[in-house]
Amino acid sequence: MTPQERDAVSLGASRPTMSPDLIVQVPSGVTAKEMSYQEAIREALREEMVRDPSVFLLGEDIAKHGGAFGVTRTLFDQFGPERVRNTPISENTIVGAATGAALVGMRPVAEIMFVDFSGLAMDQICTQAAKLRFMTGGQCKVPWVLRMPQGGGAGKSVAAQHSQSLEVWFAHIPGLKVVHPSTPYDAKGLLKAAIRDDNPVIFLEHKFLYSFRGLVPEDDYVLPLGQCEVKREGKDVTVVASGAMVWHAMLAAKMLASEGISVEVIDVRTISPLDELTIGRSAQKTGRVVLVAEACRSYGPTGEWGMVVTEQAFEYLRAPILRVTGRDSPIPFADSIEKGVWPETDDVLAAIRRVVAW
Amino acid sequence: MKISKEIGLEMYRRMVRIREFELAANDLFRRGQVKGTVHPYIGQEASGVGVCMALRQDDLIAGTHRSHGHNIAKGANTARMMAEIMGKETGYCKGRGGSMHIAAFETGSLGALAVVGSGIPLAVGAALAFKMRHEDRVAVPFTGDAGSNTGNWHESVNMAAIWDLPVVFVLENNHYGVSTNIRDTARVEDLSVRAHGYGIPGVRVDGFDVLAVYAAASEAVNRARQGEGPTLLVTESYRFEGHYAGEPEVYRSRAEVEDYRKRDPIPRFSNYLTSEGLASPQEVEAVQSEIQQEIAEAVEFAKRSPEPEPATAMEYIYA
Amino acid sequence: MASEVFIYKMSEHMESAQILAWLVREGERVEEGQPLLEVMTDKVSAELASPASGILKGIRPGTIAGAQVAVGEIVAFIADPGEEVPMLPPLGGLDTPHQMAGPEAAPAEVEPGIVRSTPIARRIARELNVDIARITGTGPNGRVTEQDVQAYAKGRAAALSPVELRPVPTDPKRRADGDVWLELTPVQRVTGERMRDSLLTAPQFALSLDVDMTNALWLREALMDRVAAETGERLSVTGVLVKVVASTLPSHPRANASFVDGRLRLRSEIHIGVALGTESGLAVPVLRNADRKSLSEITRDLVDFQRKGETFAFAADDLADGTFTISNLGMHGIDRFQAILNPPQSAILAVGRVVKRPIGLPDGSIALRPMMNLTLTADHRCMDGLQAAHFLSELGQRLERPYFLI
Repeated sequence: MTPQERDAVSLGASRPTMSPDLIVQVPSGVTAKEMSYQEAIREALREEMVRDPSVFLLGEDIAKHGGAFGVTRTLFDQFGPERVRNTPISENTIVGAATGAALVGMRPVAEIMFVDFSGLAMDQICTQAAKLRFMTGGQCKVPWVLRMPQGGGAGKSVAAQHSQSLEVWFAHIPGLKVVHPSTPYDAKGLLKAAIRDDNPVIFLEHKFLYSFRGLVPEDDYVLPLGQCEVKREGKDVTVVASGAMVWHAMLAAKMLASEGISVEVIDVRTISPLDELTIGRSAQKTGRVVLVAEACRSYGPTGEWGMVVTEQAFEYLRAPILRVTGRDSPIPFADSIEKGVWPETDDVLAAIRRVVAW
Repeated sequence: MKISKEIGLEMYRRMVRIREFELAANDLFRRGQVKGTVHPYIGQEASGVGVCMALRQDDLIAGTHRSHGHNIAKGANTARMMAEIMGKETGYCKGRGGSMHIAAFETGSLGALAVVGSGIPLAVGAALAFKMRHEDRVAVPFTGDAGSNTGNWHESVNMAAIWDLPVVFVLENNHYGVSTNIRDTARVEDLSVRAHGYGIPGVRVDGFDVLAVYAAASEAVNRARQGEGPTLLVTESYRFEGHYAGEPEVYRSRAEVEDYRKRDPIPRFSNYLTSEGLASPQEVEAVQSEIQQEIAEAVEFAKRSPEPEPATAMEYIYA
Repeated sequence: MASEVFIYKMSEHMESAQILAWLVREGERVEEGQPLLEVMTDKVSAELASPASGILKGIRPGTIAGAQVAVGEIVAFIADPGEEVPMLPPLGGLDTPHQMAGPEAAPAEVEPGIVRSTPIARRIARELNVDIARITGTGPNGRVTEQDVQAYAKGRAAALSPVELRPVPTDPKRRADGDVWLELTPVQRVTGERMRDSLLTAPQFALSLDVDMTNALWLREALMDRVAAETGERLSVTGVLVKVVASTLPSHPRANASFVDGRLRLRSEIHIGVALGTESGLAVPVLRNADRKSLSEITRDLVDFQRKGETFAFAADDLADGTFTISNLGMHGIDRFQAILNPPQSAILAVGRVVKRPIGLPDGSIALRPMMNLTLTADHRCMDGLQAAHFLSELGQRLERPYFLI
């Protein structure tokens, strides 16, 4: 081993990793089980389908096959082909049919295999479902959930048409709600809330968080939509993040604690409607803000969060608001150029240090 | 097909109601009292009425941008419709929708939708719900010839077909998508053959003959109610007015329009009623005056009604 | 090959020199041996000669009048026309920290007139009723931080605060022996302490000059109408004085300076305080940026201060941060007097009354001219007799030939 390699190893050994105990959300004393993000989503679907017969699933390959990511595995066996319904490749009409069913009192949970395919259904999502209640002067409501995996993972090479983060497309449309959980605990609680919500909810799952594990309470629980969670309290810097980026933020916060920098991490959870108050309060407290999102930099979610910080906390700022984002590029295939297209923990660390030193 | 006097007069009444409503709307538009635009259904009344008369109150229709006729055919109140197209608070959609999004949910209408073909999947979804809940209700989406080229239409017909959903796909072939003739956008002249590609029956009828439409629609609705799946019903139609009110119709000849006007479904049917002895000329005339009165009152009502309060601008975005 | 211009050792114990002035401008051609800089070392001023013939280039930022430079430091280059010379880093003082990108490429130079500060600093400044433009920032690039604002506000509170200055009615107590004991008003007390401190710390000396005010008075008459039209008030002699002093100070920066922590702070702005007697005591309200004000504006300010003085309704900012003071007792019949320096200012001008006195004219005759005494008190740490004399003499000349005022 070269001295550099030896250093890297020893550094790696002492460097904290993304283990489940990085984010602990279940209060002590509550009976909980450790499960993956994927399982947590399945449990939410299962429990809601038991609770409410008007809940049913439709999407491609979700029945016996259990979905492209295995999320709906075993649900077909439990609920049958009527309620776990395979569709043809017709994204547009998957959503349109879900809307029609919702209009007459069902609570469909539709699935589009990758958020990248949502383009085929944008009319039904944004021009129809989002606006029906408004256009009809409140005569109807559209209580569906549209589940779509999004996001990328370094070295996984699923490339340009299967790796995007498109939450802002939907967040921009009034009438839609957009949710993006980062942990199994959040995934289950927020999906239940989404299913029970009377509005069309875009439920974005991070495909590379499916295997992340965490504690989930055994009893029924629902988390509120439209609320951020302060995943870690701190007083020196506020880091706002969503999805997989929350893990990078938490890891960076843990590492900086040993340097005496106290980082507060806010998990946005519901992209829209955005909980501006929690973000604002934190920014007022610390005066230093770093925003982290996987989506492309330009016109991405950090633009919105940055303006919210400015609106809520301008006179408390001690440094400019910094953002750490994905690169403005389609996702490449080759490792050498895929590297760096999304934020890494080191990028978040660097940004926090900059803002502290400003 | 034999019909009763009651049904006959009701059919006539509804067609006249649509005609008078559209004429009044056109007139108001020309006077600048209706905002935006309107898409007159004039000439197609037999198609909409023939279909809707075959439906129950709890069956659902889904419309297009040209759906004043569909909503009225399904039983919507003309005063509330007039108020809606004038953007008043008393309209069905409280002034939020306007002509292109007019929706009378209480009559069993999923509303008018302005993006061509977008309403069709909604009907499919509703039919899916009916089937899952073992209800014998039927969903009937309307579209034009141009709309049957959209992805919406093809995916919807396919999906309804594979699941045997209780849907009647009504395709009102008025031969034009705005300015483009269907012969330039579809390779088949008889659009009902498209059904065969999806494994469902396709039927083609004269859209100016309200009874023919009624008969075909009744059969298709019945099939659906029995759980036998969807049908494609093509009504050969024509709109006497432009795509929108006041359009300079440069894409078709006056001669063509005049030709079709001779087939006006309303006088055709009133003749039928009187010649078959189902109604006297006085009764027919009485319906006309009754409707004219109704529409005049609807216009008055709409004009008198207030616009929505600005303070309510942000309501109904979320449930 | 460019030659380095550096501060060379001129005496055995010399460690540094203070730059007094550049004698040549960037881009000018110089000859070997030609004086480039005037420097001061160990009380001796000297000229720095050019090491070579060529074009003076690449003058190092920060090598301005007053800057202290260590022996051996390079301050410029002599090079051939068209030859590139290295860019020297700015001379000492502020550490330029590692530039953080975020707001991209923050410039090292602070643009004049723009205050760099954080939003939180601005808010605190506003809440504490402090003019952030007056605060020297200690953050990177001269940025005013919240700590700077807090410190400034605390320091200013230690000085006169409006609350302190509010006149407190005194209650003379009579005692049996007939003596009256008076409590000092806060203004009187603070003024007394400051004057004492001034005399104890600043080595002050005075120079006197009698000025022939014929032309100045004539000009004042001529401009009276214009000022009256613009302000509705009378142009006073003091007003004219303020204007003339303000226009003379730029060429005599030592008279518009303060002695702070062993260094001379030459003020870039000219804020002239005018002593005003009030019932509560002495106040010195400040005409800010007097050099940029017109006679009308000066008149307006003076009248405003007069009015405020009646009830001592000055704001703290009215009384703060003067760079030079004028005290005029002429209207009270005083011929001449010597004022005490108003700390931390380096000079104060005492003005007497205008009286027609006989003076000898160049042709040997005697004439009666309206004469007015100017007595300048100066801080010897900031300027010596000669420098003070230059200032006072130029002031007198400009008063005697005040046509630049038109």
